[in-house]
Amino acid sequence: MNKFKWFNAQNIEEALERTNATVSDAINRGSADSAIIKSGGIELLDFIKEGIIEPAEIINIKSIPGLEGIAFDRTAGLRIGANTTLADIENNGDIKLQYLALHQAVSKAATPQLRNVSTLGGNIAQRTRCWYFRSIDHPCFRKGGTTCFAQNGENQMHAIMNNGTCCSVHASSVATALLAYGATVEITSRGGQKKDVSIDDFFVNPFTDIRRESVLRRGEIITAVNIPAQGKNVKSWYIKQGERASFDWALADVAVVVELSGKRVRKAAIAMGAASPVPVRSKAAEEFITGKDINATTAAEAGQKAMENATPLAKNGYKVDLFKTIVKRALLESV
Amino acid sequence: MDKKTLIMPFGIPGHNLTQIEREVPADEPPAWPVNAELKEVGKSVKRVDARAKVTGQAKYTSDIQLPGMLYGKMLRSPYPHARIRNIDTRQVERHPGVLAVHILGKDISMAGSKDESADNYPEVKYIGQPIVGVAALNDNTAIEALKLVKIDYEVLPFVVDLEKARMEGAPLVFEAPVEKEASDGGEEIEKGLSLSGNVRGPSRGQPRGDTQKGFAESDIVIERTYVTQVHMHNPLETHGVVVDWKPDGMLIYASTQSTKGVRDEFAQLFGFRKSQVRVITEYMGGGFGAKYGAGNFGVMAGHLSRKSGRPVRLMLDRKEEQLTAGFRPNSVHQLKIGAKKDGKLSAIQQRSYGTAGVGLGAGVGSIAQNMYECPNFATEQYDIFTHFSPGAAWRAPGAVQGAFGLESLIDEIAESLNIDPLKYRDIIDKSEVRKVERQKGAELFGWSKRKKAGSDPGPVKKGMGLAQSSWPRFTHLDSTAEVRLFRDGAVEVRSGVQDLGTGTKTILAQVVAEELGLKTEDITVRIGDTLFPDGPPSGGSVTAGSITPAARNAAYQAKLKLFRQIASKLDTTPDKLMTADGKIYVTGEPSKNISFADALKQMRTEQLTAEASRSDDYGGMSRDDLGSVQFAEVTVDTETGFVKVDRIVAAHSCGRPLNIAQIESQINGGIIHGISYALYESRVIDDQTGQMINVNFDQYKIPYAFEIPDIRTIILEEYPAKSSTDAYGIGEPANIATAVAVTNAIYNAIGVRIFELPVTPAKILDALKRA
Amino acid sequence: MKEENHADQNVCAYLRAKNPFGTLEGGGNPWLHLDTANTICWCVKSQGPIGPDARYVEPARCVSGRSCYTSPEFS
Repeated sequence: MNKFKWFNAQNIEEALERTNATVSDAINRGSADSAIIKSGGIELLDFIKEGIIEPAEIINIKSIPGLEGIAFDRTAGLRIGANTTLADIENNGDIKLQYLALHQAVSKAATPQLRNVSTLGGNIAQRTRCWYFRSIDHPCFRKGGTTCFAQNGENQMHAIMNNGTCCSVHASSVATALLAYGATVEITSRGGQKKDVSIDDFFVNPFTDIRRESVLRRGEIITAVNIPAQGKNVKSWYIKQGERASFDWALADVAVVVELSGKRVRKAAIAMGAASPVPVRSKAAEEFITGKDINATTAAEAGQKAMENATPLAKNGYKVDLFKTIVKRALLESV
Repeated sequence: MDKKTLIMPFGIPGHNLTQIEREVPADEPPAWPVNAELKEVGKSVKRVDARAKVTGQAKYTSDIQLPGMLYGKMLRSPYPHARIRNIDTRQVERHPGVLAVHILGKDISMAGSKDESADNYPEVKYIGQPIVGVAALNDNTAIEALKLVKIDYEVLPFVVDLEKARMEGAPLVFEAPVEKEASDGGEEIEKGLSLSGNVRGPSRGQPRGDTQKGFAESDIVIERTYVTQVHMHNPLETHGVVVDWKPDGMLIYASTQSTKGVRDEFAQLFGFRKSQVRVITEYMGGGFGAKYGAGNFGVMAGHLSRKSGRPVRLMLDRKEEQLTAGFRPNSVHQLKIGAKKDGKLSAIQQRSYGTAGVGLGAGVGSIAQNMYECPNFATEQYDIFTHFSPGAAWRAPGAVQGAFGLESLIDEIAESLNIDPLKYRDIIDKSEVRKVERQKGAELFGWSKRKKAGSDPGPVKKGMGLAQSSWPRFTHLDSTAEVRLFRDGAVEVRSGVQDLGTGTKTILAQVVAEELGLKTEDITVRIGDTLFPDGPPSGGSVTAGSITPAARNAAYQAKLKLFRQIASKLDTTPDKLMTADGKIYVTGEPSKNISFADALKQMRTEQLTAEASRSDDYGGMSRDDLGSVQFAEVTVDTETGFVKVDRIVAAHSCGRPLNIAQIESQINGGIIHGISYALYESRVIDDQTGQMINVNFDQYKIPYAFEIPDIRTIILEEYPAKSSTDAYGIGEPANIATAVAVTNAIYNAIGVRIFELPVTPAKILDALKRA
Repeated sequence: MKEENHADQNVCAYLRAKNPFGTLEGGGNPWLHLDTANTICWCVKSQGPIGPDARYVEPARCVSGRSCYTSPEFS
């Protein structure tokens, strides 16, 4: 690990003034003079330990007051500050009651110890865990290299959809739930300028820009995530399958949010993580289930629909079956 | 040597316990009765170093800080196969924070290191092969400084894949050796097993009978191929040393399984007598078979210390550990077994290959040869060389791979013959130990509730399975301990033996306390230092069986010396004295006694010391084995392919159990390793670059809390009457049967067999589709 | 397993082995029977299974006649 300067930011403006690179910038353009923002620090530390980036300065934003906190209002919905730890989200009663799938997704992330320090902002801004991307010995597309090692290599954990360019998958399982709830990400830039980006637009596909996985640019910082209020008849569920039950990334995860009218589905959001380079919703499955009762047959069919366009690689065909099953089970569990 | 006769307990209490006469050396202590009649031995005694460990006072090698200590780091090859044309260290030599630079030659000893020319650079045969080392003021400086070293490589073709390495035309790891060379006397001598391409072997073990005939006489013959993965050791403490070289000797703190092995190698390499090299391993964070010898990192630290004149610490980081510090080789194991209608085995034939990288030792052991009665046996075991760092012994080397095949196929034969797999072992297994373990284990586990394979309704199915293991009773006879009595009341036991974390310190204290009639906590244990008498290396599960008899013998000799000094004070003769409950009594006259502490106060000298070694096995070398039977219950989700091990019942024998809690702890560890091998762990190498890509605990999957099942142990007391403690190790036996017990349970759950480890969701789903 | 008997050979002073049953110290110590398919061998002088002559290390080959061989008498 290289030596670096440490700066405890007291306010957002100060942090944005000092920073000159995102992690993605540092990976692609060299990190020699980079000043990079960190919140929980888990993600950044991994990159520094592996020697993938060697930042000159780390700007700690965990020291900025007011960036954490959870506010819930029955009409306005939920607002979670970017510095809120996953543990605080997990333990929040309103979230457990109103946004069950989010509670479930958060409580399945990492370990209790890591959840105590990792923050929501850092979680959705993290980079893929693709083992080639994380290895200094493999200069892949995403690190400015000329190949994707996983396409013809060890792709057992990789994407089964939209995987023609880079087949990595986004690491955040929390994002899967946020996508299903239609969350928006509040991004603040210099001078206190704020914009709300829908979670669908927040993540960037590799075929759009191989160098990054979110729209965040240097000089920008996530300040909050907002989730609209959910109607009375909205149900949700989240399922994650990793290789292990404890402390693991998702091989497949699914969040479903359905609005019911009686037993009939009026509206459905079915979001899948670890299927595609960014979290995706399955329009085919959503359209199929809308207007129907959820039962063993329709849920299974929805699972099939969700995988209609799957293009698995040599070693990850089993993930197609995983998704079919967990989409089905999440739908059944939600009601 | 003078001999005497002992009457010793022999057999299994509650089953076939009897007594046996053993002729033993005259200076051996009297026989102990069974554990029920002992005070300290055979109980659950708290570890003597428990407090030091949980409070962080225990100093491991990586905690050692010596005055002026430097930090060593090595530059390693990024290529799996290359020639080094040139190494330019001029820039790094000028770095102000760097106090020594060293290049490893072909011969890395003192003699070899004098030639640092290009001719002396070794060929690179694996990624991570160390080339240049630096000693710097701190770790970061060392890492930075290594970037200043320029190495010019000629990159050569490589092969890392087991199957590709076997093909004709694969890049060669080693040149074909000269098969026959003239010996000094002029006659030709055979030079080991043959090498063809990268394929070396076969080793034919100890064949017996005629397998062809055996198969012809069989009523049922099944042949299968079993595949196991590469398994990493993952000790929490990585390999490493702190070395302090001085002109008149070396002091080495090492994380090692053999203090004396490290001492001997450093002495040989740096031109010292053994007495000039001191190796200390006071606390150690696990090894599992991988920590033997000085290590290239150790020798590098030695050279850097010699050059800088300062102590040098060189601990591997986790990536270096995974890349270069050993692994359990993979295996492809073709096994064919023939049996008669009544179940009796008529022939076993195996053929295996696997890779330990540039090293040997990828065989499947001798468990198929030894565990069951079978008149006809043949094996062919091949090593395949690949451009990867060498494997290392790993908790029951060969046996774990071998057991996966053997116990899977025995399970399958039992089913084909329509015999319950538990009952089937009664037919083919002559071990009395395992017979009792099967009875007790089955009862505790509830084996009778086992259902027909795949009969659970619904997508989530439960299953039960069992598997057995066999491990030789091996001991290391060059094992010595010393017991010292001090006038102030202290009693100390000393040996060079190391405690890997298994609890060696505690069992030594228990044994000495038992012999002296004291409490375990009365004994001070000083081990892991070559200034003390040589202890055994801790491998092959030999430690308990080798060093505890030596310690008991030393305590006995010290006691006799004390008796001779004290007898007259009790108006008796030394042969009339005995110890119990902290006192020395006159036998038959309990009122005539003196407390042990008071007796020590009356010693002629401040200290009294006695040293003793492990005797040869009483009654000759043992031919029987340490047996275990493990039972597993699993839940398999047939729609996702996920397997959860719900519970394990493990019945084990290790001679006379010394410390129940510690044995349970080791069995737990062996089971967790086994579950992990069955379901999770696997080294992944990228074939394009030859690089291992899951080099950290994020991507290399080891089990955590949710993966650990309910574990129940049955520790059999069995007395083979072989030594003064009759104890044996449990480290390796605990690890052999688990994985295959789990896979047999998976079969019982889903009705489909899996032939390849680890059993991932992908393999379950695939197997179910093909069924 | 004791297919290969090296007890009667003058094995190199720098050869070591770890077989399933323990370590073999070599040097002046006697060599036991061992099965190299299940034994890890290493050379003290190279601290690995690749000898100083770039060939692999095993008891049957680490004997007199090999260029890097050292007799136990002279170690």
